[in-house]
Amino acid sequence: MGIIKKFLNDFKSSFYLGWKIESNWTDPLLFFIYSLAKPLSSAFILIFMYMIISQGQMNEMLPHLIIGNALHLYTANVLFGMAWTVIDDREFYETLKYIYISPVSMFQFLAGRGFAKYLITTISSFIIIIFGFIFLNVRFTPIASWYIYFPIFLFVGSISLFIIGYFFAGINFLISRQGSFLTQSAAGVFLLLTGAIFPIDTFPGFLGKVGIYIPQTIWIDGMRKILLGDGWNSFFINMSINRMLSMLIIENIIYFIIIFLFFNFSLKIARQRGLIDQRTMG
Amino acid sequence: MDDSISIKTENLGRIYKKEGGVLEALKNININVNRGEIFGLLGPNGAGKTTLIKILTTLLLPSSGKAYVLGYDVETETLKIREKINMVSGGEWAGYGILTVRENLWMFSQFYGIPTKKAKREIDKYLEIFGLEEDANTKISKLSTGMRQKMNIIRGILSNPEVLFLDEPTLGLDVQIARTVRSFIKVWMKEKEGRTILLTTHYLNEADELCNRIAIIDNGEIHALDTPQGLKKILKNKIMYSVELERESYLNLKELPYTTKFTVNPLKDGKIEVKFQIQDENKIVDIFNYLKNNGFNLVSFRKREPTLEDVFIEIVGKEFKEDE
Ligand SMILES: Nc1ncnc2c1ncn2[C@@H]1O[C@H](COP(=O)(O)OP(=O)(O)OP(=O)(O)O)[C@@H](O)[C@H]1O
Ligand SMILES: [Mg+2]
Repeated sequence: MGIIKKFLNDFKSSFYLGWKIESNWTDPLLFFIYSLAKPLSSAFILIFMYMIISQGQMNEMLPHLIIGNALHLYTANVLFGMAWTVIDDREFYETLKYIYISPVSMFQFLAGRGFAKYLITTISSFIIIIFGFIFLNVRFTPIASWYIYFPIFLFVGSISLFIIGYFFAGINFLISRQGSFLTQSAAGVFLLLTGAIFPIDTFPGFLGKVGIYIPQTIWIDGMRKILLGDGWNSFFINMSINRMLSMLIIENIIYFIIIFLFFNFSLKIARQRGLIDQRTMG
Repeated sequence: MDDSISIKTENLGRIYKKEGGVLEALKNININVNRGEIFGLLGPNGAGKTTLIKILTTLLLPSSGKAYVLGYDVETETLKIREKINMVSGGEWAGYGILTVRENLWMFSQFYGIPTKKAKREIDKYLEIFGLEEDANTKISKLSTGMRQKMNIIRGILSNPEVLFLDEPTLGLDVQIARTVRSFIKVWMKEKEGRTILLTTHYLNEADELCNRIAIIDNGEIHALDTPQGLKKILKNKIMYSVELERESYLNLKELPYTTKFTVNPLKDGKIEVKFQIQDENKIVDIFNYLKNNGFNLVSFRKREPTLEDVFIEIVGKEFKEDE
């Protein structure tokens, strides 16, 4: 079988699996309602909390929050979802070792699983954004040529989700279920540092700067710029969308190289230490 | 490498780091498994059987020595090996509860690049062989232990492996299903020439029935390696007896004079089987009289052929625990 054909085949079956796991636990109608209700209710809770904290300054921050929250779903579901797949398949489904000893590569397997999560998250995320524009008075004031920038930025940012996802997946190959609080905390840290809720320059000192080294920060703020126009960004306020795009691409390339090496390294360590089929005792 | 050898290890060793030192799970293992052979690994808990299987299936790296499967190095030629092997471990869940039996199997077949049509045909064939056709569309979270295990065996053979690793494939199965599995293994081996199975089991009769050769392994070392008949020859100079007693009277039996390798084995009908060896056949009258005079209720008293269990006890020096 040709390399490309094999890649597609492996990708297809893990995507199929991911799709089934994400969507097949209930009938299609219920799944559809759930896909609508879950993101909307979580968005409402967040907006409500924010209203209390900001005491009426809501209007000003609402668009920032809607886009941030919608795109953070990708970080939570796809990026960290890929990492969780390692622990779930290893210890809950007990299938990881069988997949590992099959000819499929872990890289492709996780790509397929992640892509299923990606498609489902896209439904939720777009629902929140469209809902915001229609019902919450968020004004759609995009930058010029937004229809070109939007798909490009969406695509490049989606790639970074997978790249960083491999990083946390690599970590989860090395730690047990008990250690998984690490990834859970990382998800919380990402929520803050990527500026999904609070603008990153509201953080003191270097904390605000850390965010710019996370691709998701640039991605979320870039999407804000594309959809809402200039003026909605904090750190990137004076930066052109082209510049942001180049930053994102450069980060992607650098992280891809580092994380590709790291991922293979952690698989090797896991095989050395017998962690591929580890089961957390008790 | 010789094409007739499917598994070869050279001074294979594996250590695990433990608190306060290391544990040598495998020490200098040297085996050659031939193509077409069912090769058994017998050993008590913690002997290192699973560790050896993990290394050969590319799940775990060796700490020292070499191992080859179908001539490929397990450390470096993993993909070549993975295309041609598969593994089934007993007593495991191993599956996506949200998928049906057929979906689970189809998905795994795809990881081996089997064309969908062919995969579906094979899946149906095997589901029928294992009597699972009615449950093909059942979500596997609803399966019983036996059904799940059958499904996992199908998963293991679906990729048509040249070498199949079975780690306690009948663990926890009832007698009927275990028998189905055993006869299937035999048929599968005959179906196509050149297939190899490496099997571990806790059931000595199973090893006796299935295996062409058996390695007895304990504490990470191979203590004996031969055909079942060959292993039993180790005991050709031993005299073995088996005595059946009523249960109540067994409770008083603390010792039996003139005997060694004394083991007890509860039987299904509530009776107790006591097995032992004697050095001097002339003493058999004394043993018989000892039992009679001390009020034991003898059901039977007979000389018997050595079994693999006797060999095991002889070599490992302890009784074989069939843990369930
Ligand atoms: N991941 C691990 N880390 C540390 N020690 C381990 C690990 N896996 C196995 N061991 C130890 O290595 C030894 C061999 O274990 P192994 O599982 O290979 O035995 P086994 O022969 O398969 O036993 P069983 O019949 O119980 O399945 C045991 O002492 C076990 O405790
Ligand atoms: Mg074992």
